[in-house]
Amino acid sequence: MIAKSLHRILFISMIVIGVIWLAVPFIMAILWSLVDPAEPWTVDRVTPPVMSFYRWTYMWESSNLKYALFNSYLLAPTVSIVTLIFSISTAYVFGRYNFVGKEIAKLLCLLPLVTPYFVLSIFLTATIISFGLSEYRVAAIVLAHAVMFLPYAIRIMTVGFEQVSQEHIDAARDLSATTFSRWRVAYLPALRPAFFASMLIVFIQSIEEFAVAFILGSPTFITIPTLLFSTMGQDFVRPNAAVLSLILVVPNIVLMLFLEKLLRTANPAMISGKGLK
Amino acid sequence: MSILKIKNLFKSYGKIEVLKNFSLDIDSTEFVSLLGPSGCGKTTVLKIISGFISPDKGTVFIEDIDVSNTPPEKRNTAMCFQSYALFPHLTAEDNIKFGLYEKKISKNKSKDLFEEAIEHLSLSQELGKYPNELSGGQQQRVALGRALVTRPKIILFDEPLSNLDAILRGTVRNEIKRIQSEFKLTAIYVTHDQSEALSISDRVVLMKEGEINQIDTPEKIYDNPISYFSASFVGISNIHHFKNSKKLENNFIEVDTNVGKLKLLYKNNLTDKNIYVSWRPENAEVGEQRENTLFGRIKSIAFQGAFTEMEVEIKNIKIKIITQKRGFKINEEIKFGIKPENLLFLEKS
Amino acid sequence: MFAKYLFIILCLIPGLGIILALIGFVTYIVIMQSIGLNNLFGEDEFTIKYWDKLFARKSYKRSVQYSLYIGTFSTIFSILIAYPIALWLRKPFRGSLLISSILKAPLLVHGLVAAFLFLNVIEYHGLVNQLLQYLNFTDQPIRMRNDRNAFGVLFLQTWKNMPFALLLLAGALQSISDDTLDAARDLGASLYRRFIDIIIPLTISAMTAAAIIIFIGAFADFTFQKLAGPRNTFSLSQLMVEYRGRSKWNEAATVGVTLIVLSFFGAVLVAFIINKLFKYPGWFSPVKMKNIQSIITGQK
Repeated sequence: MIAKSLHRILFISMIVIGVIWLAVPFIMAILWSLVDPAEPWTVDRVTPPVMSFYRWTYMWESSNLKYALFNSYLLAPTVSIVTLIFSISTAYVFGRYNFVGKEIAKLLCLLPLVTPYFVLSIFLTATIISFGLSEYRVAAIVLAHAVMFLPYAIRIMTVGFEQVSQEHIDAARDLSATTFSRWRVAYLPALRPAFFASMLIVFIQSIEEFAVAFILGSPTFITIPTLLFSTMGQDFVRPNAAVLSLILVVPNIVLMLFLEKLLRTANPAMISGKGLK
Repeated sequence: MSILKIKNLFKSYGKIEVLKNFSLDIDSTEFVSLLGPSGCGKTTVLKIISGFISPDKGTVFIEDIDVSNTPPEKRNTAMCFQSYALFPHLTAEDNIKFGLYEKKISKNKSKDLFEEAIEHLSLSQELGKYPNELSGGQQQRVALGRALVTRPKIILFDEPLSNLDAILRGTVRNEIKRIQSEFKLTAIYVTHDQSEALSISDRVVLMKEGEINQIDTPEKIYDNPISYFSASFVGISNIHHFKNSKKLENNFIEVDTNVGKLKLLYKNNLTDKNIYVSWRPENAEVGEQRENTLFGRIKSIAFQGAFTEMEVEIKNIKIKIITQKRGFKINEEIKFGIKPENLLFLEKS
Repeated sequence: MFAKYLFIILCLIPGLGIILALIGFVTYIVIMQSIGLNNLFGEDEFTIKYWDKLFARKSYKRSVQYSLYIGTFSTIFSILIAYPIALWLRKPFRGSLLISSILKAPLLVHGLVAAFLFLNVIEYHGLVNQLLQYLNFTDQPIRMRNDRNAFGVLFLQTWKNMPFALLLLAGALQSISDDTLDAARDLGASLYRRFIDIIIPLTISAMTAAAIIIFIGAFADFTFQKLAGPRNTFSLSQLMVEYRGRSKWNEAATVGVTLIVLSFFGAVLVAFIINKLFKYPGWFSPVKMKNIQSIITGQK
């Protein structure tokens, strides 16, 4: 359809744009994170005059970074597991039963996706306060995250359940398997990739989530995104923000690439394209 | 009057030569089948005629106009795809009318063409349905209607029946033939199923490895295959090597084969190319004495209702015979005769 | 039968049930607090004074307009850029996977990080200004951050959302079989007609899903606005957070209700517009359906 030379021009310009819009900002961030306070990086220099890991050790030792890392990486797995547990029975009936109102029910499960997160977080806070449950704000964050990411978990687990072959279940039954054995031999193998995909996606979303963590968590419960946000506010120290940005981004990229590999081997229809409508 | 003239087509993909010097002339209102095994190039020919593929060499003339460089949307051909390729977001009615709109046919003419197509294909009940609501046979009829409603000069079929079950295949096949003759269309039909090709074509073009192996009417291709390939691909044949040919009087030739001596009727002189003798299983006259009489032992019996197919061993060679007689048993001895005019010489490939 | 439905309902409770309960409850609280009920502090009193005050405020109207502006244009830009790229990448060619990965990379990058990187680059003393001064395009650095037209916010929204639209659109486009397009061509459709009559209608659901999610996200944005947006206007979310920061829960609730209602209607409007424009025969298609239909029904 497109002439070969036009093709080549587009290809090269895409690579160039890609480099500019990805590589440059990241290199900038890396450079900024390596700026040594001995000499500031001023406008006239292309690279920082003195580079060291000072900022990294500083952030690690004296800021709330350790605390934020701990919170984020404790919150996320908890949310993953809770969300998975909530999603299983719903996904089971979506995947293996037909009933009146199924399509509407499936649509309603997408409700969190169209709810503005800040409205949710602010008024969930209001609810907690009004019930006198302010000490349980972390539990509230877990609950909020679970609800926000349930659509993903339900969607993925539903596809997982749909993939369980009825013939496997029947064969197991035919060979006198108990309910538990049936689950182990017919359901579990098909569901395993869905379990992992679901937990991974919810994990990544929870680590990155800002609105709920910010509104419900501040000022006592700090996560990496809220810490980053605060360093970009009034006390904007660019190198500190650079360090935090990289800490937020790099593990996520690794996790997402891992997720893509996992999904490619499992079932590509599970998340993109067919997923959201 | 030739409506389609294809001259010297060559097409290769990398090192693989898909078409080798393919030439063909087709007359108006003719129904021609391109028959051959997978990979023989028949679909490539179809795609070159419709304009989706350009040949490396060669020309295509439609009604004496060189269309070799004309894009598909400007050629007056229409294709029925193997997958039907109905537009999923359009109803059957919109699918059929699509070509009328795209070719900007006038409103009144469109109306007439559309109604005629609907009537001939009995599609009035299906008009408002979407493709995923239609059965395989209905989808095929919609695809057919969509292709013929614009009255293309040539209508092309790419294995249209392969997705249908056996019973439906027969019905739809007959429908295609009926529509073609009622609308006086020129049709080119690609298939690997020889019974399909034989049943509806005016001429069959048998292809092998990018070349034409034999072109003839269905009867002639069946009764007079010229090569090992055509004898074995179209119908079943028993084929034997022979040696020591001896010319006898009255145009008889006697040859030595692995099942014994056989006498054939052959006016011409044998050449180096003739190296096989073949005959059709149904030409074995069981229990009869003929100029060629063979004795063997029955190895397997398959009763097919209208006839019985048997595998018979003669001198350790297995041959097939078909007979309407019954009452045979395995390992029984059997005698049958073949008339000399039912034996043929074949060329190598 | 009854037992089956009871079982199904029980199974739906932990998943769908919790979703409906939480979101339903929060929505209830928002609505109630906007009319003076269910107050956290002080007496409950049904009143519409908070709404009156809100509508009278110029800053509120400006916020509504501003948020709609951001939501609409982020959606339009994201989809307008993603669509041709998705078309180009439809059939794999050498390097298409690489390009696809580069373009989808922003999906991996957190919004805050994106904001940081972006600000870094356009900062008063940042790279772009350095470059412009070096090339002698300007004498003085240009203030690009927190600009009045919110180009920074729009750029960030597009940077973040275009890959998502690309993901959905690419999936839909790749599921259009070559046979379908060949059939259209065979029936006389030009490139333009194939695009308008076949390709676009078959991507409507992907476009709608992408548009709705991008719109709601951009409309209700807080972070990009706070970091890179114009100083003199608040987005609706920002306004709501402000009120809450000052413990003005009722006022925050009114803005919250605004967000919910406008998100919902915005989504419906987006879906409606896309369908009207592109469903076959679309706005851009010269196909005239009705005439032929009426002629045929007349015959029957």
